[in-house]
Amino acid sequence: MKLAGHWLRARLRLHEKSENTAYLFLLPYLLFFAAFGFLPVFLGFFVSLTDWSVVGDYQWLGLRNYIKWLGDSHLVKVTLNTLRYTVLSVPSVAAASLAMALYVNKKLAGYVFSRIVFFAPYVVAVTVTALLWKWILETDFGVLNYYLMQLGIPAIPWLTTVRWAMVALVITKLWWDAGFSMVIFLAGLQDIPADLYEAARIDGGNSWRVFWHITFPLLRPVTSLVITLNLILCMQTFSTMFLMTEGGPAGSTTTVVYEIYQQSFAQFKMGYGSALSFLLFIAILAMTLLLFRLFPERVDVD
Amino acid sequence: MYFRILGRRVTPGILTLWLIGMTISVLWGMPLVWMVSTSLKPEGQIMRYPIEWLPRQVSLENYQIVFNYPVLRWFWNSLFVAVATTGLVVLFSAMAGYALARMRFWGRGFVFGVILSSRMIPGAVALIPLYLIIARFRLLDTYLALIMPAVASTLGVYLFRQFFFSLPRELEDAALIDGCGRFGLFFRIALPLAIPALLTVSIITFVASWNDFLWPLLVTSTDTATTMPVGMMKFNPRTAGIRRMTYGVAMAGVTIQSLPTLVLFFLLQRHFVQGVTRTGLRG
Repeated sequence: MKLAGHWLRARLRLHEKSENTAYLFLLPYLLFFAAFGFLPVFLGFFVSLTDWSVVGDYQWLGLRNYIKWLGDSHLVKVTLNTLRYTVLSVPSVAAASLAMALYVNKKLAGYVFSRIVFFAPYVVAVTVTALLWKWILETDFGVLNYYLMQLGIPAIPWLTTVRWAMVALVITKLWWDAGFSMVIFLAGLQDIPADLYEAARIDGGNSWRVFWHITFPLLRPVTSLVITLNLILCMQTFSTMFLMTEGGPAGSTTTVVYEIYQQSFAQFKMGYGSALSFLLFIAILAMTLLLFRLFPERVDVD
Repeated sequence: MYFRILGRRVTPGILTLWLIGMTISVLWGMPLVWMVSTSLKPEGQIMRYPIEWLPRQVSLENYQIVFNYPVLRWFWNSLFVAVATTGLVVLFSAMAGYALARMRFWGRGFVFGVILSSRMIPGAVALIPLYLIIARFRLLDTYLALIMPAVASTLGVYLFRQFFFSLPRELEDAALIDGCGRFGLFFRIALPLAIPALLTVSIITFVASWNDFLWPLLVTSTDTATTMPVGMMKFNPRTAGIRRMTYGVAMAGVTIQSLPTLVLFFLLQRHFVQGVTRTGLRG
């Protein structure tokens, strides 16, 4: 029987030697990938070196689009806005989703309800989230301000003041997106071997110490993943600003992708827009690599 | 020290934790309740303090206003695009994933390497060139403009490749002896075994397509191709233009838009969670 198995394997391996059918299997997907996944990157880079607009001829500009960015004070502001949004969002989403995951993982009564409710916002579209939260955050008749006033806090003009607009967008994102990270944390928690907790309990560790000495260190790769994924998303944020604040007030919520959208599709400066998108790509790549440095994949637990 | 609740031992610490957890869970769900509640209120009861969570009288006037717009057309567009995208993504990426996992051929490492490394490139980079390609082929404002770029998604290929790797190949071996060809192996043996991966990829693709906003915003301009998320902008109280839009109407529109994915989520919860886990952890 075993011998027959060996013989079979050998025969199949022989059969597997360079199968041309494989190309037929790959062809349909690769056609789409080449046209809409692969080509755009190179075309985009080419466009970024020109003054391409929708109509008419284009001229070669070399790296001028890239250099233009440096001297543009508006773009410095846009970059800072994006960074501010990212710095506010990523840690709050990571912390909130970790707390949710830890709570759900305790499996107390009703934990399935909690899991459903925490994750549900993630499945609605950005237009839903944006319009709904615009209504919740409404200054005069919004629900949130109503309850804040009940607590003695005067009505906050969430979306119409420079001071609060970004915070309001972060709150919206937190509600919308935290469930996604929670699910990733949950999977990470379930991968932690139960006997580790058992051992800690025998050693007399209380739950706080168990968390700091076992759970948190073992979750490090997952934490780094959650932070990276959220960072990549936050740096490319556009839709909530577009729908809720239109980049205002006073341009305080205009992000890089918003600016790319404005330059390319309102003013049709597609060359410049492309250059900006490549600069964003480089920034995201640099930040991701930096994160990998800060959070090495290795984990040591004693 | 502990209490006994419904036959279970409960310490004060756990009880406090549970109370906090449940409070936050309920609060987390409230925005969606508020959305539906507002959508059912008549105009005069919406902008009003104190807050009333339940409409005093249920009114469908907001929904009537919503249906004065071509919502059904947008809904159909969204549905068609999402279903077509899902079908094509599942079929093509399952085939590609199968080839990459099971077959040996010249250039395999290269093809997979290119697919993998393109996952590093943020979506924003492809936006402008994709638009130019679609415009060049005169496909703006068509279903094809919405469907085709989504079929190039690398996620499905990646997931299917992983899945077929982990699938034991004994069954395929047996069929191979019986003289089954590769296509037969794939369609009759491998694909039916890949139902879990198929569901995961379908759900992720469908929801992503149904909810996509930025790309449809760029390539659609008339009701022939406008999808639900873009159509919803008509109900945005600020961007609605001259006509004043109330939040009641906005919430009615948004309720209709979110219903399909929410229902799908409640029915297929486990698959949603698995989908996100797989894409997040190993994507």
